[in-house]
Amino acid sequence: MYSNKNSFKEIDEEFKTYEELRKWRDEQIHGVSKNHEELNRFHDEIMTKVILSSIKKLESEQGKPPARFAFIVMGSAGRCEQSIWSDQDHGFIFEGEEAAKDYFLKLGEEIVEGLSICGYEKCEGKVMANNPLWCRSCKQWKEQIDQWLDEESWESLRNTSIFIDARVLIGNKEFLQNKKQQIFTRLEDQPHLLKRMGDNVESSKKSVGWFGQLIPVQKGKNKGMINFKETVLFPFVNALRLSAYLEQIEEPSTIGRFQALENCSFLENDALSAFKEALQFRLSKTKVSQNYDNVHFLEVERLSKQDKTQIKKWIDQGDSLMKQVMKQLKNKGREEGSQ
Amino acid sequence: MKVDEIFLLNNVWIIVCFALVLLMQGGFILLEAGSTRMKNAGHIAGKTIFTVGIASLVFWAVGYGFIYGEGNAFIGMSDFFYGDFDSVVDGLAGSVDFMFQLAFAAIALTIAFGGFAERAKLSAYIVFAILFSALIYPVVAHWIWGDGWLAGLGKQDFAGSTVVHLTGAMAALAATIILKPRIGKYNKDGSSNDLAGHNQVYTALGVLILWVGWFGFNGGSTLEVDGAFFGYVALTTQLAAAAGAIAAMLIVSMITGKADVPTMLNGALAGLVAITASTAFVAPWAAVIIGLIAGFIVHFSMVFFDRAKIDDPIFALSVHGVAGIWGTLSTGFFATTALAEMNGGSAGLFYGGGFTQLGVQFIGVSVSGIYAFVVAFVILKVMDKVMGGIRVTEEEEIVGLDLSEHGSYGYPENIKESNDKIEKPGA
Repeated sequence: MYSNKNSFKEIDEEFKTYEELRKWRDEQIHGVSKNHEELNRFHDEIMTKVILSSIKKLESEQGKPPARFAFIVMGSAGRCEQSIWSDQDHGFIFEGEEAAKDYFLKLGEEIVEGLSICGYEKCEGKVMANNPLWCRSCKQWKEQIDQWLDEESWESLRNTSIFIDARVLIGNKEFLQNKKQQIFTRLEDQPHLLKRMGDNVESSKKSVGWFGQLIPVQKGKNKGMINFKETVLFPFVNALRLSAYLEQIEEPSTIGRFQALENCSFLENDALSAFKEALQFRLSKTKVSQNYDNVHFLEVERLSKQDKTQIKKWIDQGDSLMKQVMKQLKNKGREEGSQ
Repeated sequence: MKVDEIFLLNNVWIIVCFALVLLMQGGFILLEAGSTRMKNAGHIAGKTIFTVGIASLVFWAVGYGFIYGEGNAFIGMSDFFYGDFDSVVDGLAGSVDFMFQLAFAAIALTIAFGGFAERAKLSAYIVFAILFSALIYPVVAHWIWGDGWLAGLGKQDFAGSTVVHLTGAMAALAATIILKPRIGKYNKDGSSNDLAGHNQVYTALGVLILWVGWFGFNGGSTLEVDGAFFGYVALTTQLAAAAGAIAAMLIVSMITGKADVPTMLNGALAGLVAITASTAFVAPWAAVIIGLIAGFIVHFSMVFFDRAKIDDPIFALSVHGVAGIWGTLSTGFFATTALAEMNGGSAGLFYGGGFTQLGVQFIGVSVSGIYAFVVAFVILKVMDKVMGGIRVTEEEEIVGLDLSEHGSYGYPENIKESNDKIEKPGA
């Protein structure tokens, strides 16, 4: 985990450029990629160093940040579920007026480039701090969240779900807490939105065929492979995110959400250990992958019979977890409806 | 003089069926163009028309004579440059019978050209059209439909699962082996890429036109209206096509998780190809089984050829070859006693006929298939040597045959930009 000992001065002494930081990353990554938690601590460390360097660079050109802020990471970084390669999903929540926005967008730009050099691919969906949509003042974020939940479109609900997986990497944690609480309050008033969010993620891609076989990608560059992240991990991630909405849990990581829900009767006991095993399995199978493009893909023909059986078991567990959570959502909807 | 009404009706029915079978070429144009890439669309559509022209002239000159002329068990040797206005053959005006048979010869040729798609020289199409129409199709047709040795054994092939479809497919197999896969189809590590066809709507419409045309193909093969037996033929044909489409959609969904449209379309065609031999010999329930099995095997066959590194862009080998073999064998299992008595041969295994008919079917399909493959392979090998290759250059293939062989694109507006990019280096 990032610790305060990384002062700007130390950063300066350790790494003068992003390229040097990248070199260090490449040297260290295989050493830390045996253990999922250790790997994610390492990612945090790299990202923090990049951000502190970016701040330092912009400070020398435009002065100190004009307001207090929180730099948030989302997606797998937000959930502490990054694999050996990961893409960028981040944003800013800053205090005060719009005038500060230009500064933070520029800082976002610098961070995006820095992270990119350090091996984090730019987000295709542009969920990044250099995008005005994800770089907002506290006040603007409040309006944005209200607008997303008023709009109720597939895209706006998806953005809400991206946001709920956020965690503060650097800066003021309260800024994010307030926004998450705002979402929880809104959802209490509009329980049907939870059902919609559930419906949108419920039908995961068909990954096991009628004959109990794993169904690989049929065409294109990943032909013959399964997308492990989508088929195995996502049902757990989605189910626990929905539970987090339901039980108003701010914690973004799936494992953290499991722990926060420890006493929840509707979660199966062995789901958490299944998810942890699956994360570790992915790491063991993909730690040799060379880039973000293929880090989530496993070639079916190269999996042992035992691996395949295990993967199918996880898929089953993920599906049944999802079903339980959906049942819970429907019950909640009925309770609200009858009141 | 009193008009013979049945004679007249027979002739009207068969000439209508000739038109339906000729219209199947329109189905092939859409099927093939839709299954291939945009840069070859004009070429693939246009070549179908002129090779029908070649097939027609060759059939008139020698094809009909080799099939139906008087000769020996191997080949007919009279009636070349066919035609007069007063001969009568099997209760039909000779010219009507000739036209109907000609349309079948042209279909077999178009099936063979499935193996040429997207990479053969235009000159190779011309030369092979002549040689296939003269030396390959008529020989197999004579054996089974003329006075040949397989007809003598009682081979059942009502409308040509073997004669038309398998013969065409075996020539396509020889061609696709000699031409080798299209550029970009296989990677260095042996894995294959999906060079998707450019228009599934064309492909689907092509299949429907073929399906409709098939009522001429199978229905007309009754060669008469007496007893309106063509209605029964239409019934079994429809059931098999329907079952083929459903079976293919089902199996591909079960195995890959996706209801792949091209596979489903091939299932309908496989059902049609399979029932072509057996349509007049089997019960409706058997037609459903025959179609279902055809739909299942077409999927596995498509996967097999892809893995075997045999690039078959139009799926001619699976649809016409594998389903043609199955269809031919199917009468050996399902031919009923009554229908075999009526239409030739004997009852199948499931109707107490033992293995006799199945054996005849097996010999027929094996020898015909081997003959078509070997002769086509030799012809194409010789052409390859003599013509300095039968495949276009890599550059021509990448640019597309529309431009390289014909000088203009099937879709000029849509391809202009990439065309510019390709032309620049040479400019």
